[in-house]
Amino acid sequence: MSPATPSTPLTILLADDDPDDRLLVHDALAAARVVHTLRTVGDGQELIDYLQHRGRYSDPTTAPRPGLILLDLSMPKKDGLASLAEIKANPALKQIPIIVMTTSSQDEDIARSYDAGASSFVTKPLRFQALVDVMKTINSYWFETVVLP
Amino acid sequence: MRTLRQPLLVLDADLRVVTGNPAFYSAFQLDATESAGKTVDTLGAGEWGVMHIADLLKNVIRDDRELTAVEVRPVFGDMHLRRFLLNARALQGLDGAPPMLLLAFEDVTEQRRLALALDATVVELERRNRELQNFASIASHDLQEPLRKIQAFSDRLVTVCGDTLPADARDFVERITRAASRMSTLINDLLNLTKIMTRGKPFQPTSLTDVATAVLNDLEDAVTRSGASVTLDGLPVVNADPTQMRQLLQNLIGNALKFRDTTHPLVVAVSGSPLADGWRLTVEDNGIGFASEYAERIFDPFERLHARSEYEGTGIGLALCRRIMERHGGTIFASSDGAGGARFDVTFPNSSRMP
Repeated sequence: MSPATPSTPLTILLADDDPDDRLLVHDALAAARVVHTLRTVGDGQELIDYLQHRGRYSDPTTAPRPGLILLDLSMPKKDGLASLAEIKANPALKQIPIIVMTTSSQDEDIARSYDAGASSFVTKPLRFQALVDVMKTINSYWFETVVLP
Repeated sequence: MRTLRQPLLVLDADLRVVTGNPAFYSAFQLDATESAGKTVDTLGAGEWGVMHIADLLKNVIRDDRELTAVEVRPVFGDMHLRRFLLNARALQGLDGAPPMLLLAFEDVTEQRRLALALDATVVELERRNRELQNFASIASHDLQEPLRKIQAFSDRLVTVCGDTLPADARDFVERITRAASRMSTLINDLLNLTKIMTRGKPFQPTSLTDVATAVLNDLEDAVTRSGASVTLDGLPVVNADPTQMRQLLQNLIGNALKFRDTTHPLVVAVSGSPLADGWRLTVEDNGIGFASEYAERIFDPFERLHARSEYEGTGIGLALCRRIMERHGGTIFASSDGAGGARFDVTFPNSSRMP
């Protein structure tokens, strides 16, 4: 498959329990002029339900398979690491690249995320412009440089 | 025997009481006359609190072996529960007379009680310390979250509404942003302070000359800008966490460069000298110094002697140095006579001496 082009917008799925962070990522993607569609879920269980088209996500047209997942680690109920492990253990889902985005910059969290199969780990920046730059970089790398599965 | 403060008891080969000293009768609350001739088993109708004391003692006579430090917990009469260590040996009789047994008791009740109390205190202290360290790192982590929001939405306010915001509104947002940024730095500093204990690496032989040289390399720009002359002399090799030694020297030398007196050239002398029981590392400068009444306060976290606009920094550096030296079993002290500059003396204990 060739890299995504603006005529085939992909879905970026954000899993984050914090409504402020969901808003900031949405705004940062807009400010970075990323054409792809952002969908969000609020915790690890919703994330799995979305990916497996269960519950409120049983209609695949409202829950298109994401080309990329942005995953927060500290979510209630099923947290980020548990969700990450579950997705990577699922043959139908494990190919989807997952970027862990979280407040922590602790070494153990970084190591554990990569151990569990995360494609990369990003510490949520303090300033909004820095978040915009992160979104630009993610867009440029994952959607314009690499070839997605 | 009578004068000795340790309870002593002499038994014959049939384990009957021959004699005891006053310390014995008093400790075991027995009457000398009544006890005479009684076997050890029937003494005072009491309990020795040790298995088969008669058999143990018989073996001493039979095998001519000594009992050493056998613990007994006798309960006689009104005695409170006490613990003794018992030594016993056979005394060979003169001219073929039958052997006798000498029993010596040491009251270790108090020692045992104190040892247990000490263990309990240590366990409790370790638990509390772990809690504190955990609390500090959790708190800082959770505090960063809302801080990030304050920063990010202040940015959004300016970006989205900047044109319509009056000048003082923009000014207020600037101040909010700066304060949030400062808070973030303070939280990170606190976290670094706790990490000194929780993330400390094992000690290894560390050349302080090498560390200081690396630090000066890092601080090259600051050294050049200040035109400082920095000398290293006789720095020891100590048993230490190399990363923390780096932090220590970075803070001390960095401070010397920062708090210089711009009216004359800065001279910083970093030297080492052996002590009777360890090493001393000294960092001395001819900068602005400080009033000697602040010599202890400057080691408090976030303690600053100057306005933020005059000298940058959160005031955590010396607190880090002190915590590092605590971990290494050493000390750090500061002295200054005001305008003559400042001097920092760091001591490393003997255990860090390298052969």
